[in-house]
Amino acid sequence: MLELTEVVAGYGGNTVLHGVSLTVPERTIVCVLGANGAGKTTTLRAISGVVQRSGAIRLDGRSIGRASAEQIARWGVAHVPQGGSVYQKLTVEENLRIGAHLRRDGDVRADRHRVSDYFPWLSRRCDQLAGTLSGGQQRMLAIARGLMMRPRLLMLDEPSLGLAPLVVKEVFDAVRTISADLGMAVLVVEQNARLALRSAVHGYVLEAGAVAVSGRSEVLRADDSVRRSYLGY
Amino acid sequence: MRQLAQQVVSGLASGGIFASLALAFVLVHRAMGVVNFAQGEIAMFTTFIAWSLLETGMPYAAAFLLAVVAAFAIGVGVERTVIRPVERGPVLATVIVTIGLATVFNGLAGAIWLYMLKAFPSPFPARTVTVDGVAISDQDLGLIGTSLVVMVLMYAFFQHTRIGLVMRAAALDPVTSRLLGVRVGWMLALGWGLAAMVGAVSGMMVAPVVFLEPNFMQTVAIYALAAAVLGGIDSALGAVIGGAVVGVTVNLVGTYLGSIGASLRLVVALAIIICVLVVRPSGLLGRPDAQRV
Repeated sequence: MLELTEVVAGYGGNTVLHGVSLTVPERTIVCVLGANGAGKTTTLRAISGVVQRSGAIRLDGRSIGRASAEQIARWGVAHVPQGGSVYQKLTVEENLRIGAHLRRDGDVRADRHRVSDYFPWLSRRCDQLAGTLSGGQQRMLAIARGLMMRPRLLMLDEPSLGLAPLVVKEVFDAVRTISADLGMAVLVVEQNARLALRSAVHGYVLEAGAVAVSGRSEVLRADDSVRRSYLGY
Repeated sequence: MRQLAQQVVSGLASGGIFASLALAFVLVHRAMGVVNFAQGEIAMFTTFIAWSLLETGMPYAAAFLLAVVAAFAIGVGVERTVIRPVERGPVLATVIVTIGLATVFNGLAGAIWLYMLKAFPSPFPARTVTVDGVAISDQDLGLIGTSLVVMVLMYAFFQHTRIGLVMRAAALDPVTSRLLGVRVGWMLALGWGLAAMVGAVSGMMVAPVVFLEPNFMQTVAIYALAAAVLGGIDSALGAVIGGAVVGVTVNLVGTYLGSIGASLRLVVALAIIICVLVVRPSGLLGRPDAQRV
């Protein structure tokens, strides 16, 4: 459903991605791995349209390479940036409502119940300011807010960053359940390669702004040389 | 003592006017972090539109509503055409554009309606009730009531409507909002439109008290800015409180400082602005800009 062909992207005159090609099939979790500065975050930003980019980016056959960020979001891409960036000064409930602000369909309420099922603490903290939540809860709220958009593609930037191992597991479990339940494609960027490869079907390893290795997760996991040179475990 | 109470009451009435225009400043500042120095002149211009409509024999209520609608259109139009190109540039560029806009609206009003004083009708009856020796006119009550109604409507809009929530979100974090599909640029334009509407109301409240001419909102704009800064430039409730405090203070200074008092009124407003910016830049109700490092 998402296809990147030779995408070049960067900030100002500084090119970070030098021709990245990748595919996210329907209803599949795909992960992008790589060291700091390899271009993982920029890849997501190129897709969601917040950096200058060129090359072909197609979502469901439609070219989105020149569209604005707000238009791409309206076409069904939910990008949860690093750290989540919830609205600190709005309540939990308000954060969720903004996720659904474009929807006029009758399923919003059902989706609201669904995200409470995934993250049960949400319903107890509806009226709390998002800025008073813990880091892990803010991360989960941002994912829940993305889900309220009922996207075709959910993109998560380092959901595990700075979280306690138990919370990380909780987040990834939720992502797996969500993708399976809603038939949603997920593109997740991670430093924690072991964890990401366990959840994802496909993996791409970026190095210096280009795809170094890619393949099915179990293949990448089993390949000792890939593991040693790129994944660091 | 009675004189004091009397001055407080009429101070609160002018405070109501200041509060409406202060709220207009707050709306724009919250959306884009900039003081719109054309706010008063846009209010003046729309008051002239109302005056022209009244001259055609239109009833007051209809002219009032049409002027408010026109103000919204002017606010949105100005943002989309003149502010948009400098929106992402430095704050100073936007500020200078708003100063230029003030001049443009002032000159335009002068060209269309000339600089002669015009009377503008008040919607409130000229009755006065006396409570314990303090005269309270319907005019005063009307001004206070109108600004309270404006505040409540704005509060309801921002707290209880979907679009109000989205506007708040767009102001808090434009980048994240775009990722959620919010058309941030249009939300800014909407903020300008709402600010112009609120400003138009204040213009039509001031005009009967003074006379209508192209410069009639300039001092009011300074008082309103003082009110907005005092209340905390990002706080709507602060604008109301700031308006009341500035209105009463300025009135008391005008009354009790004898012959020089009247000319000190503006100085006091400016002094308030400076003191707040030096001592407590976030104002009475604004939250200090704390940043997590």
